[in-house]
Amino acid sequence: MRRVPARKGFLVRHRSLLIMTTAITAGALTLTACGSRDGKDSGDKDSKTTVVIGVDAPLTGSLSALGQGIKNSVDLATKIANKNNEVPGVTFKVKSFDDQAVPSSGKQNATSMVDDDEILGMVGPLNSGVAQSMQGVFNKGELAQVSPANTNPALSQGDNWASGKKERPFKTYFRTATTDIIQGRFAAQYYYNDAKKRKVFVVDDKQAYGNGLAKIFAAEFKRLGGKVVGTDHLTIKETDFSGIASKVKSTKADSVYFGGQYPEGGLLSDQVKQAGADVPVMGGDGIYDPAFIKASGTSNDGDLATSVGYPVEQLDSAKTFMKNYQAQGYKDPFAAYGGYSYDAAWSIIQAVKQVVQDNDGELPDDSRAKVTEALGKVSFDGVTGKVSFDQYGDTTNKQLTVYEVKKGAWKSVKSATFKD
Amino acid sequence: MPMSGIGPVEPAPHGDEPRPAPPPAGPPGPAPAPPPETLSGRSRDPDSPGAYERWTALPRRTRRTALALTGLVAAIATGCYLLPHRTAPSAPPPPPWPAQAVEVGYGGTTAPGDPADEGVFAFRIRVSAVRNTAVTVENITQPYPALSLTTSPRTPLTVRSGDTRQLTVRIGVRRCSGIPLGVELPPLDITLRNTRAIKDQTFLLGAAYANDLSAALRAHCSAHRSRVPHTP
Repeated sequence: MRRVPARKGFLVRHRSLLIMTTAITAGALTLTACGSRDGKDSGDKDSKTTVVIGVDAPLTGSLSALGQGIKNSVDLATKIANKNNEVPGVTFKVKSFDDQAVPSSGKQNATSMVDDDEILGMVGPLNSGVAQSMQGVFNKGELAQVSPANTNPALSQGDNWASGKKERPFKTYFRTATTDIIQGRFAAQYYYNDAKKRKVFVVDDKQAYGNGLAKIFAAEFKRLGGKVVGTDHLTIKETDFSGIASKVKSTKADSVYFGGQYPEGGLLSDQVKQAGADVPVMGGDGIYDPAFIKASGTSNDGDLATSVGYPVEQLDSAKTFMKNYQAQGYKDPFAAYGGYSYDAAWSIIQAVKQVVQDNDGELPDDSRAKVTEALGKVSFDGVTGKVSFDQYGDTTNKQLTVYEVKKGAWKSVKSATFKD
Repeated sequence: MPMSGIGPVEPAPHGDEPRPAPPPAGPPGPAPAPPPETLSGRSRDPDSPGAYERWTALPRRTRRTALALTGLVAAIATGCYLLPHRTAPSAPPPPPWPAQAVEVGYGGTTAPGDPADEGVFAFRIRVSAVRNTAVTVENITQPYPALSLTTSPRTPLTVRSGDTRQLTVRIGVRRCSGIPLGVELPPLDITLRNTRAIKDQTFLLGAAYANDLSAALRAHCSAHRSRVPHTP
């Protein structure tokens, strides 16, 4: 007689507990079913080989907006590769180096990377001048270098490229960005044919990239029948370009072409307009950054830039990249070279994959040389389109877009495809 | 009897209650504390009801609620598991933008033909639809006012997916001033259309095209100038 009331009280008190427990148990099963399939067997982690991809870029200083985008995009590529187990038995890691856009720093970083046995390839640098200081070091160490941003032709085609004597100086050098040969000439065609400019004032920053680009532009502009009414040089990290701006005004130039980067380019545009010369400033991929627009105190709508590749909004392959990049929560945007950096890293990952496959699933002793060799043969659909390299290590994907500042933002106005 | 909202307790089943655990070996200790009231404990009062007994002792409505809840969660779990594996039809991805769906290559100059073509530089281009979409070449132009351009066959023409069409492009000289002599990267502007978009795209055909064009223009205009009588 005592048990029934006791049991009733027991059951009544725990009826809701029973329901809750049932729900929690089933919920746990649900979460298990929904969330467990991405996980890899952690038991094989210890047996994996670590391959490090080095990154060299200006991570601090005035060009850090571009450098951080490069670093993050390489990081993303390695995370995707690890998640997908892209190369069985290999875990990719990233080791980044800050060159501050200074060639001597880049050379030191190159030496550090060559001395690190885990690094089998590197992505970078941003600046062509920095790349020049690194190429020899990497070549000696047989360490493959894939730049997402260098555009100076001599890096891949030798110093005599302009005379038609193309000769690849370093077998370890590759790039996913196209060269200034195309960029400078396309810019000249746009200025002359589309924007109807006839009298241009050409400025450069005396650096390998800026000086080379300005020369290529000017030569094609003159061939088209345009006039270069003045030239001048500025010094990087300086801020007062009012003397150049006055010359632009006095020469009655109808346009300015600038070979250089956005910190100086934005200020130059601002000061040209402040001097009373209502003319556009055009540059290459070095000025294609929101910071160029921000650097100008006055409105610089109408300024122009060429940059490598198609606009990202016209690349379906870029949408996944952008989504993944955003999901990682990186502090800095991927900027102008994010897609090219991802593709550069992925090309190294594919080269490592090939080398491992060719060696019964393990890295060989001469991995660096083998990775360099395999890089020349990679071919895949990347963020920026088809990724592969020609006999000079240049990308075979040669596309360019002209962007114009409209209402304070870069907008694409014309795209071109180069096929030799 | 006031309504409690709780139905009558079902009679407890008999015969499947757990047996009491044997006493532990060793010296007798203090009297064990009463077992906690748990729904699933390894150690419990042997007189406490079993799972089935407890279940059947629950009010019918409570059991229905628990069953319904369990069924719902199980359905979600099953759905979560099967969702990535299902092959249900989804909207096909859009075709690539037209400029990314074609390759345009320079095919060299054509042999001299029609005498009426004097002063015309003619060359071939190949347009290949390299992605899974047909592309229509709506128009081809060149940017230099001193020159004119016609094509054969005439545009528009459609290149089916996987196919290559060859066109002959004829460049005429309107005047010899302002011609792009020595230009390294003369462009062709092509308007392309597919089911996704219509877009203008510039094609830079490279050194061979640039050299052939310059050579033809130079030859034509040199000859033209030599025929123009000098005035005193």
